[in-house]
Amino acid sequence: MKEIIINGLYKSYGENHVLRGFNATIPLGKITCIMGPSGYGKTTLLNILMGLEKADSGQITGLPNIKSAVFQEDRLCEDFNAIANIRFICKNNACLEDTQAHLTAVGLTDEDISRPVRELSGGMKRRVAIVRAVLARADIIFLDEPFKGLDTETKLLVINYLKKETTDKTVIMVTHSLEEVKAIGGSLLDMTNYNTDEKAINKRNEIK
Amino acid sequence: MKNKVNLEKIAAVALALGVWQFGAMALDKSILLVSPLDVAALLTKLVGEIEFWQTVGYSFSRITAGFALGLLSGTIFAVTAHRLPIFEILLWPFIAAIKATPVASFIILCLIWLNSSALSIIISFLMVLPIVYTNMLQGLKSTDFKLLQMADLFKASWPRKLIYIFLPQLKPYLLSACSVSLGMSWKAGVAAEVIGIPDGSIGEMLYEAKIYLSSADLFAWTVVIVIISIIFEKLFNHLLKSAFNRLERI
Repeated sequence: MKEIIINGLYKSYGENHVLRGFNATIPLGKITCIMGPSGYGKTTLLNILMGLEKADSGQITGLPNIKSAVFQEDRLCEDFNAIANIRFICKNNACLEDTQAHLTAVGLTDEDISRPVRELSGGMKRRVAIVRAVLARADIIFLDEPFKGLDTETKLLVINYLKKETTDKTVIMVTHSLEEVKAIGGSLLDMTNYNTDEKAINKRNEIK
Repeated sequence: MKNKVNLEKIAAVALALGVWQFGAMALDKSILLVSPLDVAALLTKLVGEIEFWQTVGYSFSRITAGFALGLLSGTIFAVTAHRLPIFEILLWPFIAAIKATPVASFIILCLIWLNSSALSIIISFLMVLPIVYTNMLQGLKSTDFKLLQMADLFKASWPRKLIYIFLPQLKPYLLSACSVSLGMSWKAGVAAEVIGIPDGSIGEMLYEAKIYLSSADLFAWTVVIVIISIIFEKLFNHLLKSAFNRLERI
């Protein structure tokens, strides 16, 4: 199977119907960017795909098993340094071999790497979370607004790092910026109309 | 800044000793209030005797054993209650009863059931158990759910979750529980010895001081209890903090 197929996904929180029969086909081995206004269910969709939440109904097929993610929040172990945070998710020591090189590639210095994560700036923490997601060697990587808190120069550095390290991998990224979609070279899955336009609700969401 | 605080503390202790000395001199009845100089002289004499160290060793080993037992059981119970909510409910009446029951009732009950040599172990254990259990359970309940979600997504192993998520989260709760319960275990443990009078214990020495109306002995042994309790608390907390710091550097 070469794609993830999402059929009729429903998810509500009380009276708030976040996903109403969402359909989409996401290609494997490519970068897909999900865009749409706040509250349209982008993160909910990502959480369902990650297995963190259950859909009320609907079907998802073709989803790879080994997953990694950059969450909306960094979700790092704050008392430990960057290397220890990456060691935490390594199944074996193989992914530790070039950890230092990966962290340097996203612009972190040796000093940044040796400090407990709680002492790092928001942007530095974000980069540790991104490297952690890459080094998990997963089949699919979920990125929820991964460049939040990064300045333009660092964002470009991290985008290039991600493009290099995720070649032929399935990446699903939630973003608010069309510029980021273009820079990372991903296909666009626009969620803008599907929840408000009744015709679009049951229509398969096309990737542009 | 730290030196200034230390100097202020030393000055406060010196002032308190001065007030005590002045009070003893003003009262001039050593049976009621012995002077700190007399207590110091008696302590100097006591520490040179082998029986003193045997007595301290007897009480120390029992109270520490009770503390260790309470710490271990409290932790195991808290982990079990966190994983099985029904266990927390079933344990609740016991923990509530231990918290509410006067320590004297437990001491007398233990004297009916057990040998007096095991008394301070049991009483110290009973003082420590609810404090450690309650604090640890609270710590476990406040563990960051989102971090656990992250760990599950990355399929992190259970030992790694323990080292990277649970232990750092439990650190302040454990330190606070140990700090409070160490003092409690000494107070209650010695109180139990005074009532049960096991041979060769600090409690027996305090009891004899009461029988012979020897204020100097009473004050000297009280000073010994306070010093051992403080040293043990500082040493234990230092070891615990070092262990956590070492963990963070892995």
